[in-house]
Amino acid sequence: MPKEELIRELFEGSPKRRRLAAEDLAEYGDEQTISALFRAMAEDKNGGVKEVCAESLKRIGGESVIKGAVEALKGEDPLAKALCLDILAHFGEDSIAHLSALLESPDYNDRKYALDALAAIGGGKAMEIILAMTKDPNPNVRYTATEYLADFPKDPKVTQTLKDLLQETDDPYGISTICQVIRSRKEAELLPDLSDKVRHVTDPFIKHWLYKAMVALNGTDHLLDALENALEIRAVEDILKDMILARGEISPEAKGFLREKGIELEERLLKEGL
Amino acid sequence: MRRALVVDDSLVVRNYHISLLKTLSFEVETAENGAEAYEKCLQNFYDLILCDINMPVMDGYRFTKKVRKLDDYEKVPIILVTTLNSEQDRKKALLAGATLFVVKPMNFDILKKMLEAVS
Amino acid sequence: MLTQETFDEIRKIIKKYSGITFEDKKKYFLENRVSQHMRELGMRSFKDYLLALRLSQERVRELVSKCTVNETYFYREFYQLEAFAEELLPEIGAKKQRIRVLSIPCSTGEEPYTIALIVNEVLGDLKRSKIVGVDIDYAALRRAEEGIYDDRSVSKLPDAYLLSYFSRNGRGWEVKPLLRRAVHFMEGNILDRHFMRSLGEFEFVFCKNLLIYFDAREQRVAAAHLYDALADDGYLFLGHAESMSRISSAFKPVRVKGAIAYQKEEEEDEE
Repeated sequence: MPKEELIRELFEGSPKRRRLAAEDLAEYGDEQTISALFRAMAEDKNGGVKEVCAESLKRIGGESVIKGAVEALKGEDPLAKALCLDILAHFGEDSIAHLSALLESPDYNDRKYALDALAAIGGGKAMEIILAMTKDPNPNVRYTATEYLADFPKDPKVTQTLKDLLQETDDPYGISTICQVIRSRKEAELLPDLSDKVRHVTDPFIKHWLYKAMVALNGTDHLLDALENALEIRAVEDILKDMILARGEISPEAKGFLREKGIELEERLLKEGL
Repeated sequence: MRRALVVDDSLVVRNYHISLLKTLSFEVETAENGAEAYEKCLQNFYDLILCDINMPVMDGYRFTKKVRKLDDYEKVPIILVTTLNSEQDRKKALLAGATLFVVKPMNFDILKKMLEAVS
Repeated sequence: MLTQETFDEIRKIIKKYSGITFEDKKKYFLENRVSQHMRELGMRSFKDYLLALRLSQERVRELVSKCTVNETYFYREFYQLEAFAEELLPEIGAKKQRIRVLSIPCSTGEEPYTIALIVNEVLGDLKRSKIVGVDIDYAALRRAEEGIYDDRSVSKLPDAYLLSYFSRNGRGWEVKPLLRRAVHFMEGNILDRHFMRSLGEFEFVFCKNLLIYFDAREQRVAAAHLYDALADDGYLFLGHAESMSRISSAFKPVRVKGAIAYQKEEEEDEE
């Protein structure tokens, strides 16, 4: 079928025909086709059709597609957004250059979308930018960037960044984010910093996150403090789980503490080696 | 034991909310977006749903509208959580069928108050 | 025993042939299968074995056959069959003349024979139905075609059905001709577009515990093929712990009597 007809089918007719048209349009790589596919991806009411549009755009490739995906990232439809991230990830580092407008946008949502794209793309170049975004003026952007650091390989720059962030942050959500990342990256180097921070904090919820990270990193100094604090906020089981994950068992110290406080452990927790 | 569903595309946020809810004696399950969450609601019953608005694949508004159509979810408290704080979004959330609308990040005291409000 | 390099080579070949991904933690499992295979072939060096795999699809096919898990019982995941038998089959049966059912992977045939049994019970006969079982494991398919099962396999079947649909002989429980004739077995791969298209459309597709063996990209390919294989008003069943929402938005989940089935998503709900 000629291109014009396919484009017409793409917007009219049953979902089945729209889907087939989207599939067949992958054979054409011109601007008109690309633009039509992006439009259908954004506007079609059928998820299956949108998905096929994305697949075809991936097959077509090239700068226009990457640019189009970056543009479409700002659109309203969540499925289209997810598909754009997928397209950008597919083209890897080639996509990064096209994200600068979003990264520099005054709208923090745009900057967030750019971060989502960078996380999907991965690689050293993306990591550098994400690191820089941990200093973004908007906390949502900062914490999103911090979270995305979890997936990158060990790097002294990341460790230093986490160290700095830990020092500067005081809100529960921020601390929780940083601690989760420290823990998932197994940054044992930061144990002294965590230890130090917990001394300067009074909110038991914030302390809980700090202790969780310490226990998970197999720090031995604070097990009892962690449990005491957890007791206050009814999160003892949480700490015990972290302990089991880190060392394979509940330490005798901890068992003693539980006995002392008259806390009974459910059978399943003891068996749950995870 | 009451069961809660936490819906958010961020693992870190999910963990944060799990921790808060466990302290309040909930058993917690999670989903990454509205589509997954809807499917979970078809299979299990939750006493409370805490759901992000901006998620890929299916956002919080659409999820709320869909889940409200299920018989057993007509009255379940659904708390929509967002980074935006506009009157328009609040209206949109309530129109979609949300019980409450909250700007993140949340902390323990706020969550506790909200739960008391919906019980 | 297997070096990481050889392990990687072999799993690359398996993936290319069947789409199945072998994670690192399954190395010991693959090792066992490989040594078994090498013993059968009378080979002692991995180098020769790898060469054999590269030169002959038949050898790869044999290895894959050894690696696929074939634990199926009649009447497994009963709640899904209940939804099928009590609601969906009557519903579709009333609307349509032909009832076509696809079971993929069908392994040693328990699932498609169970389905045939149910169709016979619910609709009264098998004249209107066509049941197709597909698998990449040709050894399993041969056993499926034989239709002979041991006590363990049929242990969950109600006695009445066992007596009506099976005859006991020296080798075990043999599926009676009525059921045997109703099922067509075919060797094929869900990731093979051409093959999947050639199957046509089905009112019901059972695809249990297959997608979990694939990585994200292959899952999407498989989902697209399942979509094309499903008739417009058809129903798709996945395994109990599986979720289509993670893979594709082309399907919408529906609750049917305690089970989840998927249909083609037509339009998004209007505002």
